[in-house]
Amino acid sequence: MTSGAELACPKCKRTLGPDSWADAQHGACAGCRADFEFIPFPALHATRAQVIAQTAVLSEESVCFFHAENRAEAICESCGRLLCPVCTVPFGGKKLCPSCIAGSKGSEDPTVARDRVLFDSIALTLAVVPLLIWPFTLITAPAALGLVIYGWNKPNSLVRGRGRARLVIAAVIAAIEIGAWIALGVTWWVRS
Amino acid sequence: MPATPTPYRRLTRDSAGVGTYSSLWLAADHLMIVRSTGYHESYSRVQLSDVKAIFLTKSARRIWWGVAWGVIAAPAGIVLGIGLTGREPPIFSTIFFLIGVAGLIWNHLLGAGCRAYVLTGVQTAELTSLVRINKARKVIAQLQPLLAQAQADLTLPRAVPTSGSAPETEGLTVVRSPAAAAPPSESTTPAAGAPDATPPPVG
Repeated sequence: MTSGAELACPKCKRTLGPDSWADAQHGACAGCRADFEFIPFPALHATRAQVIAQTAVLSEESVCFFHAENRAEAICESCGRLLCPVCTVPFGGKKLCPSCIAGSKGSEDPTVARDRVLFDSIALTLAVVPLLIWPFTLITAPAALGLVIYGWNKPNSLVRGRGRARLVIAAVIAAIEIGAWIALGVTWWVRS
Repeated sequence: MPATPTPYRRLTRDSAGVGTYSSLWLAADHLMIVRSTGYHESYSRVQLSDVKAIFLTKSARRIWWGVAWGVIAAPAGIVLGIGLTGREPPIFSTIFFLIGVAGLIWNHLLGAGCRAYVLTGVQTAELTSLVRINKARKVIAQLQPLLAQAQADLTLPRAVPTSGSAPETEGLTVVRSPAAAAPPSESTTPAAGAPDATPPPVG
């Protein structure tokens, strides 16, 4: 039986001492008394090959952008910077530099995107929900149409693979609402 | 315009939280935890090769949902019981009672509640969409062969015998059999997140 590396209770973060383990895969945290089941994988005890950067010896050798003393052995597939093995980060099938990964906030690249705004859902909600209190559609209908135009070429959900159907529906509903307001305005003007 | 194909496969359906819902997706080399408000999605990736372990802890989810369904079913059942003695059974009470009972049965069939955490070298991330033990075990069973494949190239620490002493294992505490005529080795057990022992350098 292996007790494994020192681990922390996922609930209370206290180290799971020997008294927390009933067997290799079950136990109860001595701190918070939470029963847990532990399923280990090879990476728990495995090690990775050590990355050693080669020192640039010759003056004409390409050097790493971040470590001028290290020989460059890869190129960042995002920004094109030369990288030593220490700075080369395999990420989503690409080799990237730490700067590109750190700067991925707001990126539209599906490999590194951290979040996405769902313009189609917002536009559809703006077009439909205000119908409950229809005078608000005077404002929300143009807003919905504007969002449809703005979000037309924006990337959608990373996982759900939605097309533009919602945007089209929102645009149609918003256009009908705007048309109704125009008709209402014309009718009122004619009568007055 | 047709829907954009994605490299992700859904592992769990959306699990509701407070104002958000989360789901778990699987790509070729990583897991993706998606948290969504319906208008904004945020993504957390966990590389399969980085997953050291998964913790499953119990939660009171089934109990709380049982209480919620019971709160619906019990008053409706009382009113229904009283109404059955009369001429016409109360319709709405019957409907709510049936809904409550159906919910109780469904809640029971879903299994005990749980929380799942994935342990990597730098973090312990909660898989917020795995909230029932039965589903969690199914998902873990799906992931196990993929994790084994993703971590196949990792080097396991090897016992290096030294003259006159027991084999040493780094990162492991090994209980020796009585037949081993050697003192127990000194075990170094790095904390989760600490660098592993120095591996053979890559040439």
